[in-house]
Amino acid sequence: MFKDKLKNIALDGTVRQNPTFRLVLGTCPTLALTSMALDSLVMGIAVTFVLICSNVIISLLRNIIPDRVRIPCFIVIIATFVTIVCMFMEAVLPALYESIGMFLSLIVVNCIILGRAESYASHNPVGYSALDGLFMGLGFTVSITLMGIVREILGKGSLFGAELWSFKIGFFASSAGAFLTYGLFIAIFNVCYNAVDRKLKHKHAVKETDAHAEAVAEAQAEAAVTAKEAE
Amino acid sequence: MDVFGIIVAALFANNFVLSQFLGICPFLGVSKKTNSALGMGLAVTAVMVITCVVTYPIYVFVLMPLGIEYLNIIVFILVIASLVQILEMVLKKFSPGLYSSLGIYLPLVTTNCAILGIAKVVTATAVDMDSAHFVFKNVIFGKFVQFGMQMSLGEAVFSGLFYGLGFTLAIVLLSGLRQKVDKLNIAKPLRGFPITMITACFMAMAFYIFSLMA
Amino acid sequence: MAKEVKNAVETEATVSATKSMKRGTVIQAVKAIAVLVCICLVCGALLALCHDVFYISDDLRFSRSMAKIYPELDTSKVEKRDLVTDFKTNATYGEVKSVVTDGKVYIIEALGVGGYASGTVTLYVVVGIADAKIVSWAVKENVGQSYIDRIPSKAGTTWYVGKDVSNALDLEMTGATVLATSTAISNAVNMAAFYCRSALGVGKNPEADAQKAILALLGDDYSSYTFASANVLGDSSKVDEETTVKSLLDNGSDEITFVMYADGDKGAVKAYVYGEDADTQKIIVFAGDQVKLSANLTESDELVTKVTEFNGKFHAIKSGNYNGYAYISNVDGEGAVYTVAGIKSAVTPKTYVLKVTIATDGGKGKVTAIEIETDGFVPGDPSKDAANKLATSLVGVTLDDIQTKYDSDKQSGATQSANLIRIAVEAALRDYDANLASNN
Repeated sequence: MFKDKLKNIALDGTVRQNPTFRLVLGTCPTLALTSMALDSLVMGIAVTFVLICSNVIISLLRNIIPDRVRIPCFIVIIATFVTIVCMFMEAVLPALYESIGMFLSLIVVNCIILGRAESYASHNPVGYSALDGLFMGLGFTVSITLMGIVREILGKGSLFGAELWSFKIGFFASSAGAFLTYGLFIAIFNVCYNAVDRKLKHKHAVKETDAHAEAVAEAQAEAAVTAKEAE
Repeated sequence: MDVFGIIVAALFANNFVLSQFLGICPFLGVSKKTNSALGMGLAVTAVMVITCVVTYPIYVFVLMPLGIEYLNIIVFILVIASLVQILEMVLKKFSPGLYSSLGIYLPLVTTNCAILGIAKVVTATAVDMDSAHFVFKNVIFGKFVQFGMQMSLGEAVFSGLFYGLGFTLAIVLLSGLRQKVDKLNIAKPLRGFPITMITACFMAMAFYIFSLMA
Repeated sequence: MAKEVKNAVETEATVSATKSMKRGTVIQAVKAIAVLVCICLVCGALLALCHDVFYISDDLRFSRSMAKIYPELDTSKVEKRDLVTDFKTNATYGEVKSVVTDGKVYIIEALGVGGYASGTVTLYVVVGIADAKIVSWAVKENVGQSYIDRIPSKAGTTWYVGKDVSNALDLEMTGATVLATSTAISNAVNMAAFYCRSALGVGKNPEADAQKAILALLGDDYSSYTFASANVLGDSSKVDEETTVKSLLDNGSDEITFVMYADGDKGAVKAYVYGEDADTQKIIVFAGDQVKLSANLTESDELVTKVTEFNGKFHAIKSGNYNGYAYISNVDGEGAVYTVAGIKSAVTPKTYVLKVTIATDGGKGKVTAIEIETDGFVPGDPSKDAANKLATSLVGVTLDDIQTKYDSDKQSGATQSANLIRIAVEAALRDYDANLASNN
C-alpha cells in the first residue's frame, strides 16, 4: 500500500505530472535562469526546499486553516520560507545570491508551490505531502538543470561555469533562445513520454488537479489535451 | 523625465514578458483568445499601477524606519492581494460590465511574478545605491534600472503603467498569433505549448530589435 | 474549455459573496481572521529569528559588493574615504563619486562625460597603491550608451590595465569601435587616475611637486599663493599651438616642463620649470622685480638670460573668467606694430596671432588697427567671421578701457576667440605703455 503510493507520488512528481514539461508551471525561473546550469540547479534546490517545507506546514495546519482564508495563509507560509531561503543564500552564498536573487524571491509566486499546497498538501497527511514536495521539487530541479546544461553548452560553450570550447551560439543564451529551447524540450519530453507509455500499455489519464489560478488550470488542461492528442 | 525612453523600454526593449521573463504563466495560459488576453493584460496593468503606488510608501515609510525590510515579500504580497480583492469588490458593485471583462482576472494577477517583480523594482529605487543591490538591479532589470535610479514615485507609477501595457501588448499579440497557428497542421508533439513557446520565441526576437534602438 | 475555466474562476472569486449570511458567519469570519493573524505573527517571529541568525551588516554587504569589482579585496579592511572637493570634478573629464580602500588598492567610482548623445559612463576603477598602476575597472552604470554591450567583456581587465596614474589625463583612449562610449570610459579612467594622483597622493605628480618647489623658493611672503591648475603649457603639451612657446624656451638639453602663473596681494608671479625630477629640476621665478633661481642655476646662466628675455614679452592676463597668455613675438616700426599671439584660454588651448598697430594718443597707447594673421580655430568655422568682428571692435581702445570694451564671456559662439583676441591686444597695449613710460 505504502509502496504503491510512494511509487505513485514519485512517478507523478518526476514524470507524469512533471511540473516543468507536463504541467508547464513555474515558467518564469525556467526561462530566466536556464542560461547557466548552476543557476538552474540552485534555483531547483531552493524551490524543492520551499516546496517540502510549505507542504509539511500546510499539511499540518490543514484542519486549522479556515477555507476562506486559505490562500492568504498559504501565501504567508510560502513567503516565510522563501524569505528564509533568501536570507540563507545572501549570508552563505553571496555570489550565487547576486546572480539569481531576484528570481529567488519570486519563488513566492511560483505556481508549482501554491498549486501543490492547494491540490495536495491541503488534504493529505504530512508524510505524503513531504514526499510529494520532494518529488515535485526533484522533477522541477532535474528538468530545469537539463535545460540549463543544454542552453549553457550551446549558448556559452561552457558547463557549470567551466569553459568547454570557444564555439557558441549566442541565440541560445538570449531570451528568444529560452523560449525555443523550452518549447522543444516539452515536445521531446512528450514524444518520449508517450512512446514509453504506449510500450508499457499503461493507460492513465493525467489527473486533473483543481488548482485555482486560471493559469494553472488552463496549463494543466493544455497538458492533458496535448497528452490526449498525442495518444 | 525621459518619457520616450521609458515608453520604448517598457513596451518593447525591456518588455516584462519577452525579455525579463516575468509573468510567463498568464502569458502562456490566458492567451488563447484575444478577448481574455486583453482582459488579463489590462488587469495586470491596473494591478501594476496599484503596486507601484502602494509598495513604495510601505517600504520607505514603514519597513525601512522599523528596520524590518526582510519582511518585504510577505507584506507586499498580502497588501497587494488585499488591495486587488477590494478593487475586485468595488468593480463588481459599481461596474458589472467592466467586472465581467476585467475583474475576473484580477485575483489571478496577484500571484503573478510580474507584479512582485515590479514591487521589487520600486523598492530597489528606495535602497541606497551603495548597497549590494546595484549589481542585482543592473543584471536583472538592465536598462530599466538606469532611470530607476533617479526614479521618483511619479515616474515609478508611470513606468509601472507602461510595463503593464507592454505586458498587454505582448499577450494580445501572442493570442492573435496563436489563433492563426492553432489552425495549422502542426506535427503532433509540437501542438499546444511547444508551438506557443516557439511563437513566443519569434516575438522575443522581434522585440529584441528595440533593445538595440533604445 | 475556456468557459469552464471562467466559471471556476467566477466561483472562486465570488465564494465569499455568495455564502449566505447565516448566524455564526461573524464568528467564522473572526476565527478566519484570527488564524490568519496568528500565522502572520508566527511567521514574522520566525523570520525575525532567521534575520538574526543570517544577519549581514551593511558594511559587510558593501564590502562584498566592492569585492565583486576586485575579488582580491580584503573585505575586513574596507573603508570609505571622504572626497577632496578641489579635485573631485573636472569639466572635461567628469567626476569622482566615491573612493574606497583596503590599504592595498583604491577603488574609485568615477563618472566619465562625453559619451554618446552627451551621455555618461560610471566606472569602478581599481588602482594599486604601491605601484600606482591601474589594476582593473568595471562599468557600474551608464546613461544613454546603447552600444555599451559592444565593449568587449574582457575590456575591464585589459584596457588601461598597468597604466601609471602619474600620466593621468594623458592616458590614451582604447577601443575606437564604439567611439563615443569608449571616450566616456577613457574620461572616467583618466578622471579616476587624476584624482588618485592629485588627492590621494598615488603616483608621481610633477606639477604639484613643482608648485611646492616654487613656493619654497618664494618664501613665506607668498604662502597664500596657489598655483593650482596654473600650468600655462597645461596637460596638453602635445598641442601644436604651444610648440612656439616651447621652442622659444627650450635651451639645448634643458626642456621646458611647466610655465606657471599665480596672482595675489604681492603682485603676479611667473615661474618657469625645466624638468620633472625634483633633484635636477631648474626653476626660475619672477615675482615683481625679483628673480628667484633654484640652487642649480646662477644669474649668468644662458638659460636664465633666455627666460628673462622671454618673460619680458610674455604676459599672463585674465580676460573675463578666462586665464590667458600672450607672447609678443615681434615689434616693428618704433614699437608701433606688434605681432602678438593669444595662446591659451582655460578650456581649449588655441592660438590667435594678431598684428596690432598702436599709436600714442594723449600719452597712452591706442589701437589703430588689428589684423588677424592666424585664426586659432578651423578656417571657415563660423567663429571666424565673429572673430573678425571682435577684432575690429577693439580698434580705438586703450589699456584703460579694454577690459570694459566687450563682455567676452558673453560673446556667444565665439567666447574663446573673444578672450584670446582681447588678451593679445591687451598684452600689446601693456608693452607699448611700459615702453612709453620708460622712454619718458
